[in-house]
Amino acid sequence: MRGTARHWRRRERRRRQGQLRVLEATIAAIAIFFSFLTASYFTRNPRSWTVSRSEDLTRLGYNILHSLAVKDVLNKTIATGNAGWELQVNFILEALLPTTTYYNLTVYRVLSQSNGWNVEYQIYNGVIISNAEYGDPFTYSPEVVSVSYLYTSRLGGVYLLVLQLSDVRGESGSA
Amino acid sequence: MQIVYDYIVTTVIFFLIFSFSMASLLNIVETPMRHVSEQQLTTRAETVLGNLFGYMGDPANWGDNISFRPENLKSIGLSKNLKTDVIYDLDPSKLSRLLPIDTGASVHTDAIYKLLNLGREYRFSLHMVPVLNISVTPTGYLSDGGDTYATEFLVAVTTHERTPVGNVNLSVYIITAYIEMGSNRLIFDSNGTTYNVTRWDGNASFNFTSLYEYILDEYGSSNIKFVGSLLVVIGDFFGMHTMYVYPTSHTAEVCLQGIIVGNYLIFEDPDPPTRIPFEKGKNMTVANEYTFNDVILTGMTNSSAGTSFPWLAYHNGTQFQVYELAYLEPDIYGACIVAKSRGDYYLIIFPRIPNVIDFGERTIPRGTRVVGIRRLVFVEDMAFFADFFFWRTSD
Repeated sequence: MRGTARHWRRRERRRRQGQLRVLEATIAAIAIFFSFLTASYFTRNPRSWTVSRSEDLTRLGYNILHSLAVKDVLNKTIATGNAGWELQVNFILEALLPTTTYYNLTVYRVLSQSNGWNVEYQIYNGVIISNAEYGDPFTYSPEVVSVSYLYTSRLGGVYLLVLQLSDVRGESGSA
Repeated sequence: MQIVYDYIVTTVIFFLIFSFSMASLLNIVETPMRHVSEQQLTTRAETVLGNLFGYMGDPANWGDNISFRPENLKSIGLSKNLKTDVIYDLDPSKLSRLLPIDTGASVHTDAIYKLLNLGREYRFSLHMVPVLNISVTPTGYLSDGGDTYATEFLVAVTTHERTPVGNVNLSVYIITAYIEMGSNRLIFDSNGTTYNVTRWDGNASFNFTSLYEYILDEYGSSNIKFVGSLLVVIGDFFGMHTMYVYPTSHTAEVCLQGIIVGNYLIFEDPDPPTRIPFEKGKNMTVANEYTFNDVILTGMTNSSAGTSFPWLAYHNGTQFQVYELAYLEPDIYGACIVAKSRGDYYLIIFPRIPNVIDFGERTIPRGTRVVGIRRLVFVEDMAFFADFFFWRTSD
């Protein structure tokens, strides 16, 4: 009788240990699941279109600035320094860039210092050359590219053109 | 029995762990894999566009030589000259050979895919439009002897996205063609170039009433037949040029349009192929060139046109006439000829630079990841937007 009772207690202990193992496994499964779930929230994967778009905007920016340089457009506008040249350049960029693009061009005059080694950059455009009329799209846009182009005019003036480009599509775009 | 239940529950739990883990992993891994795939597509698109626009092809003069068959091409490239500062300087003859006109000279899309080593995996669509979109609307007319002539025109200039462009310098002139019936002499006439600048709304007006009054007074005799006239518009937007030719013929006669490939003038015969309406050796007496920026009328005296017809191409039941010219000045932007059919005279225009170029697939499949690239390209002095769309067929 005593032996039977001992056997029953042993079986009961084993059963409880088995239940505990199951409980442990369940808790472990839940812990793993929640850890993956939490990790996936913290993982920010790059959006494909944004990456390719920024590369494309950079190439487009160089393409347009270089074309304006070799076709003598920059020589006829920036280098002349005539009143209203900023407006002319604004017209050109507005026509050449896609309407889904924000742009902002800053032109610096590159001045050599007397020692011949150091250079100084002086902002040349008195009027903002941009199509961003309201707000600041370059601050809130996920991808902004900046294209720098050094241009030497026929008259000898050296200018650094910094063209900022951003996609109007912003966060909602897709490839 | 209790142990069996334990094993079953444990198996289910392990299965759930595995499923959740795989689902979470796939969710995390799939996006970077898609990103890599799209990046590869972008890189491939840039490479293909670079090959198309940045190289001249092999042989380099494959555009001019229409007897050179596409299957004999070693590599394809649309560039005209590599030794230039212009990034994309394209050859008009090579572009003309890409036009989907089955003249026997055109290079088929499949041949390009093969030459670019794209196989069946990738497809693209190339669309080229002028930077400036020029349109002409007649606004005033002059009547004489029952005929009405458009003499006043409103020229509108917009961007690719239909935004009006102001400050565009427009050079406009008219080319007119007459036949002196007695001597069967062809006369081309032109006025001096008229200039104007587009207003803020992208419009500019041109009035040629006095010119037409002079023409009708000068050539209004019964033995002069007015064939037709062309309004040639050249827009210059700070060095970005666009050309547009508008037929202003007063008659109901059609004004045909052809293409120039190398030294060849090619146009589609409007009549059924069973009839050859243009009399060989008689209908084309002289070709007239229209040049850029200024009007220089050059009778092509050394031209073999009118006496030499190297071949007449028939393709798929459509008839094309191909005229070989002994010489064509390299800097011209077009030519026009007068041809006779069933007693009527036609003006046929051959722009050397096609106005719009569509090449590759006509439609982009829906739901496909597409890489879109826009570049500013130049064909001679003309500025074009090249929109290139590239995708995988398996997506």
